[in-house]
Amino acid sequence: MRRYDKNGPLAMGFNLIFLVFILAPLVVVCLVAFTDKGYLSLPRDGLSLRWFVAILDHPEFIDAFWYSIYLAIGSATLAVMLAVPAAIATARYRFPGRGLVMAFFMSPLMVPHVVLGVAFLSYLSRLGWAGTYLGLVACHIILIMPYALRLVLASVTGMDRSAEAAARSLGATRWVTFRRVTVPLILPGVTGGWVLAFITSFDELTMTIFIASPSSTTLPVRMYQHITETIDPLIASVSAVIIFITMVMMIILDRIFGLDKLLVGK
Amino acid sequence: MSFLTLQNISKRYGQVAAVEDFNLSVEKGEFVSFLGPSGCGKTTTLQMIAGFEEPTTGTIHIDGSDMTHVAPNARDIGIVFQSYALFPHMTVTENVGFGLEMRGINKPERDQRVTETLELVRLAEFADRYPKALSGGQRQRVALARAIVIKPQLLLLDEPLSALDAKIRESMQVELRNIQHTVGVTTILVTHDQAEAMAMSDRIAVMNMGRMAQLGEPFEIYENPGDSFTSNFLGTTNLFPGKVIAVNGDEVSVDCSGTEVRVQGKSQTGAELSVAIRPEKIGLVEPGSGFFDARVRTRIFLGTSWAYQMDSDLGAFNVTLQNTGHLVAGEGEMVGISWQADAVRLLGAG
Repeated sequence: MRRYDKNGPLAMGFNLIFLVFILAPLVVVCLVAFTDKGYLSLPRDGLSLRWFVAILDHPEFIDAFWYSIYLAIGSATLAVMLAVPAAIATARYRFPGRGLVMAFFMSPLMVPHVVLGVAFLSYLSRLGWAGTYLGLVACHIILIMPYALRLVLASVTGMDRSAEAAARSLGATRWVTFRRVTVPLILPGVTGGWVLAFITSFDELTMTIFIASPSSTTLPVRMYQHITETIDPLIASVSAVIIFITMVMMIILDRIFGLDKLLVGK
Repeated sequence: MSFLTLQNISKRYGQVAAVEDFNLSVEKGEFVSFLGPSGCGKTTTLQMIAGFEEPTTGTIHIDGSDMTHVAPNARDIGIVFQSYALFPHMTVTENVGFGLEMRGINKPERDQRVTETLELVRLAEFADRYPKALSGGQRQRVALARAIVIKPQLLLLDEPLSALDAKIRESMQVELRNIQHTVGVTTILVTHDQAEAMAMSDRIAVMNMGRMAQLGEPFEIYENPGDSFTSNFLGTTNLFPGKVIAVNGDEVSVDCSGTEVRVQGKSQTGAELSVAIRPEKIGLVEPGSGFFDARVRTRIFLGTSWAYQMDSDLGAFNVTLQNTGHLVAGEGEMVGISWQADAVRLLGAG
């Protein structure tokens, strides 16, 4: 039987070029990380792990890494906790201002991060939250909300509501129905939203650079500060480690849920 | 008082009335169907009995207590949904046991009742499967088991068989009916399939445009439809519009496009109405010896029967004849049309 979903040679060629375009910089960074030279170059004369060892001599990178992790976990978790009720409300009910609520949650996608950074900086300093963990979490929640909401919304919209009605008719209260039926059924979307929110928060530089303080420096901010001072392969090795961690995370998630289901919101 | 009573139930969405002035009493153990086309209000009525919709006016009583505003989880009603609505993240056992768990029944008793019910619906060997590993018919039986295992006061079936293949649907009709008899639970079935309603119900409530058009036992409403809607929704009917020209006691003479037809019934001279006769009650005789003559336009062989389309002075109409193993009138032939006097009904104009 003929398969109609196969790409033709032209489309395959295009896909290949596209893939190379995306992957080439990552491959180059990973290769540079193994250089034995003291400057950014491809490892032509021999492989070396000296720049990976060098990370250990820079505890500020390791501190920044953990700070970014905590920040991303905190803000992704809170964003998803806000996104679930918001998604249920907007997907299922017609109320005045519904469009406005959606537009509000999605607006960070449209406002330039530089503008947000400046705005948050003056706002946080007035509140006395400048450079604090809570302040950064609050700003990151706003920024990553659209990503979390989109995927949660897709799963809420796609859910068969009669399963909830069935649970209710079988004697479950609204809360038990939510916990035992609704949450398990939208879990792929919620997890996908969390992962996307986590990655976005972990990766964010443009806005964070305005509101981070020396005691609350995220990894992207630390890396940016580092290359403004010196350009050495340390940046490449740190990047390689992040790429590696991300890949491991993606493989685990794919095994548990299936990545296409998670990030496309089926 | 009856077991389930719906009194003057109405449901309006803004200006639109989904259900108008609906009254129904159902006895304990009875099987009643709501039959009607889509948009007739049958599902809305079911939703109100289940508690997912609140009636705009009227009251719902179950076993003597007012349930009109009681939450769905406090009504003790089992529901089988059109989409089955199984919990995809739970096994068959967990699905069926959910209602018992909500009732705080301990695990040993729960397991026993789940096993018994799965045996009743012949699914015992599938207890540990997930719904996605079951066929449509099996999912349907899980949904039924989940609804009856809680021994509900009332069982609601919302188009439960419409997603199944014709063959499985017919066997499920019999099976559902048998299980309902075994369990003895009062049951309401919502369906648009007249054959399903007639096969399964003690009584049928025919619904049209938010109102109950007719209520009665299947045979009774099939034989004595109250109006042309019911008459055409339950099986098919030939309607000959005409005018009453004479009334002789119980016999009415109707002029249908120039042909006089005599019908048992009551009317008055000059009334405009329709003479209704079911296709299977018409007999073919020698031309000239029937009430009038007709020409066979098409003849279709259906195995157990022949389906004829006829042309006549009264207009086109259908005839169904049992296949007796002999060839009957062919296309283009003239035949005489005859019927038993009590096979014809008078219906209001339309």
